[in-house]
Amino acid sequence: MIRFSIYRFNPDKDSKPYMQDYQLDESRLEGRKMLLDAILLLKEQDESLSFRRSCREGVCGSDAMNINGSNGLACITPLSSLKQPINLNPLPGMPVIRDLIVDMESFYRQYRTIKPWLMNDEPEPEIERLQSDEERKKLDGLYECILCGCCSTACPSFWWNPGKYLGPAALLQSYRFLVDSRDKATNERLDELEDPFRLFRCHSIMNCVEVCPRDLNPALAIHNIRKMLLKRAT
Amino acid sequence: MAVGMSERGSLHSGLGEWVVQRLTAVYMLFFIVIALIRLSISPVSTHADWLLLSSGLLFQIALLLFIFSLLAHAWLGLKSVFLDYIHPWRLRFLLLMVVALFVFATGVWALLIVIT
Repeated sequence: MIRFSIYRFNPDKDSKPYMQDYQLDESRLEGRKMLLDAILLLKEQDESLSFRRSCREGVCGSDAMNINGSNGLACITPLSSLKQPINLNPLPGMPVIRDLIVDMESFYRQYRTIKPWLMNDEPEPEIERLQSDEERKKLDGLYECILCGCCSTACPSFWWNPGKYLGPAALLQSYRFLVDSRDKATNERLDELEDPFRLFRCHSIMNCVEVCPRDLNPALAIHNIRKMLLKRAT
Repeated sequence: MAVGMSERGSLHSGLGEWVVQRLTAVYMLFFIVIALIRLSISPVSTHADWLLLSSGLLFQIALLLFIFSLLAHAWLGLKSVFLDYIHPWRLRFLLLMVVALFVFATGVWALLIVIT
C-alpha cells in the first residue's frame, strides 16, 4: 500500500482546506513508476480529486505541485524517491481554484511583462535572421523553460511581493531575450528591469535552482542580468 | 494576493544599492582581516597603545571608511528587509526614517570620536 495525504479544497462546498488520506494498492500500478500514474489511479477511486495534467512526460508543465514539501512535476517524479505518506499540496503562494489546481494568472502576467518575443526593427532579411553557433549557444539553459511555475512559487521573494517582483521564471525568460543576438531591444528591456522590486528583490535564496524540473538555473540568469546592468552603467 | 503587475517604481534605483552593498562588504572584510593581522602582530593592551595607533592619519581614514561602510551596509540591508516584509507604505516610511536617523546620528558621532 502506498499512503498519500492530499490537500483538498472545493470552494463551493468547503469553508476551509483540509488534508485527505488516500491509500493505493501497489499492484494496481502494473509497473508504472511515476507519481502522476498513482494520482490518476487515485482519481479512479475518488473522482472529485482535481489536478492538472497533460503530456505526462515533463514537457507541458501542467502537473506542477508541491510534493513532500518541494515543488516538482508529478509525471517525472518517481514514486520510489518519495517518503510516505506522500504529501501533495498545490503550488505555494498561489490562489487555489480547487484541490491541486491553482490560478496561474499572476504568473503569466509577470511573464507577459517581460515581453517574451523578439523585438527587432531592422529590415527583415530575405530568408531568416541567422545566428552563429556561439550566439545560439547562449540560449542553452534558457529556452528549455516550460513555465511550470515550480521555481517562482518556491521563491520567498515571490511570496512576499507577487505583484511587484517578477520572479525567477519571468527573469530567466527575460535574460533569454536579453542575450538573443536577434533581439535589438536590450536597452529597453534593461530599463524595464532596473527597479528595486522587479529584479532586485532576488536575494539569491536559490530555491528556484533547487526545484527546477528541467535543471535550469534562474539564479544565474538573474545574476547575469545584474552584470549586464552594471556593465551598461559603467 | 496581488494579481496584476505593479507599474515600475519612480525610483530606478536598485543597481546602485546592490553595488554599494557588495563594495562595502568587500571593504569591511578587507579591513577586518588587516586589523586582525595588525592586532595579532602587536596587540593593543594599554590606552597609550591605542592612542598611538589611532593618531595615525591612515588608520583614521581606514577606520572611518569601515564605520561608514558598516552603516551604509546596515542601512541598505534593513531597507531591503523592509521592502520585502513591510507592505503598508506609511509604516515602512516611518521605520526607514527611524533607521536613517539612527544611521546618520551614529555616523556623526563616530566621525566626532575619530577626528577629535
